[in-house]
Amino acid sequence: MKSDLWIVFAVTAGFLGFQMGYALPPMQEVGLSAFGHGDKHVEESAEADAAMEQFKELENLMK
Amino acid sequence: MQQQVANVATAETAVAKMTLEEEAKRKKRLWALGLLGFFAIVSVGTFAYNEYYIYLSVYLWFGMIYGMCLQYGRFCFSSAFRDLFAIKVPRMLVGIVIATLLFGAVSAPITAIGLSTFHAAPVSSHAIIAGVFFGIGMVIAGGCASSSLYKTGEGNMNALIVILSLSLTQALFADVGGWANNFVPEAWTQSAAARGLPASINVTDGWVDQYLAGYVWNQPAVTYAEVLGMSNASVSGAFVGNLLVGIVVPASLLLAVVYVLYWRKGYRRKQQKAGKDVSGFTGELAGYWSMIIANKRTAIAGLILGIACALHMLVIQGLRVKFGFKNAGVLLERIGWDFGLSVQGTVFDPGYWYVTTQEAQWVGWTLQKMGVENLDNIYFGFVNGIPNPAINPADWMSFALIGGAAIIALYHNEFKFKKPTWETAMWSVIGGAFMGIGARLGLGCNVGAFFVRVANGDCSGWLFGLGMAGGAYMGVKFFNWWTERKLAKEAEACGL
Repeated sequence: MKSDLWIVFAVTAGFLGFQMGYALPPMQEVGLSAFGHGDKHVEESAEADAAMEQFKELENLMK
Repeated sequence: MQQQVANVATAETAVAKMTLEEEAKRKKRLWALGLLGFFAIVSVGTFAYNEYYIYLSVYLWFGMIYGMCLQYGRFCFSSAFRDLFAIKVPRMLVGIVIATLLFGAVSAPITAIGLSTFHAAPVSSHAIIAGVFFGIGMVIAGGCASSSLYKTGEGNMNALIVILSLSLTQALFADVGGWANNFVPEAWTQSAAARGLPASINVTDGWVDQYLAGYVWNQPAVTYAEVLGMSNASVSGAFVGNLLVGIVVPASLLLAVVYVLYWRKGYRRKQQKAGKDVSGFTGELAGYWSMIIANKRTAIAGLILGIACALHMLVIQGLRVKFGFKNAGVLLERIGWDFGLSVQGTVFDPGYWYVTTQEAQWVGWTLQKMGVENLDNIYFGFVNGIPNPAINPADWMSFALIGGAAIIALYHNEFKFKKPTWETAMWSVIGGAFMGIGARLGLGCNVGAFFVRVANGDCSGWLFGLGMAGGAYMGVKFFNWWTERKLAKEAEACGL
């Protein structure tokens, strides 16, 4: 019976694996290949949505 | 003959007892599997209903991991400081520092590629003061913000009272105005008024509002990388600035101080008794290492926590890119839940492990439903919102954290319903209230304002930690005084 703790780990790992796979393609598109040059990606995002970036600056101030 | 009958009876009783214990364990495991099944059904069901719910499920499953790790590693900041100051045992503190280091090491590559969801918080002495409040509170309550969650999952009702007190205090403190405005410096009021916030935010009425907009926001929000003139999203910034300068160096120094003050003497005595040579630098190094590996369970939990925290940021960022938004407020609107969004259309969506704001939010939501107008303050009304707890992403994380801790506790036969006494309940309420005030002043708790910030190279993280250590020291001294006074009174009553 005790060995069924692995069911918990397997189910959890399964869900997390699925979610990571779901989120991976967009990450590859925009950032994963930019290792060490992530600042460029950040700059582009900021230009794309200045208003939301302003919010992002503020959001951490008020958690 | 009689002896034989007695032996058989004893054996039968023992077998019956064992069978009952086995049955109880089996039931606990079934409960654990039931909890797991519940979370699985929620995830699959909501995803089948609408794809966007996967965003909330990410919070849910990472919350599960956090809960499992916290319970397994007995990850508790309150115990860490209490053990250190009260009985001079540094094991838990060392485990937590190692966990922070490991989290930092896993976060650095995520930061380097520009996919981190972390943002630095303002740096000033307010972080120390907030830490003091929080430190006092967690020692008095007998648990920090995160450990109260996992202890609730173990059936500890004192921990649940701590959470309730912490949540309620935050929600009330964030909205307190009127008489509290008398304690706001004029400069804060003027600075807050000059911010030009939306008309729905009554920024000059509310202590916390004026504290935030009139003081905290005027402080620099920087990481160690930025202080050194590097970009966070670069290899040098993430690894040298944030990881090496911001975490490895200060953490190693802290551990060295702890080694000298709390570990070295005992270690050397034990080794010398065993006839081992502890002289020279090699001996010191061996002692230092023995301290680091003393709490393997917390360190292992810390490693998994670190990996999970970093992956959490990565997956959330990936989904934000996929769905084309930067805050879950947009997502909630798309799926038809637009009540309780902030004036900017946002909700609390940290993108990483966080504890206290979602607790304040569900109380804020409840108070709002009871007729309290609390969307006119900055905390709820301008940034975090008060969405229905049923679809609040960060609340999914906290519920799952409790669930994850319960699952591991049930499997390890450590789940036990513990009823509070009036005295422990009182301390839980007082401690929770202190932590709630500290969390709002410091913009986070032991997780959000210390663990995550330090691991991501935020300069304010260590300041909050410093205050937390000071507060915990005061809390320990207070408790020692209180206990001695109580014992003296009891002894006097017994005529001793």
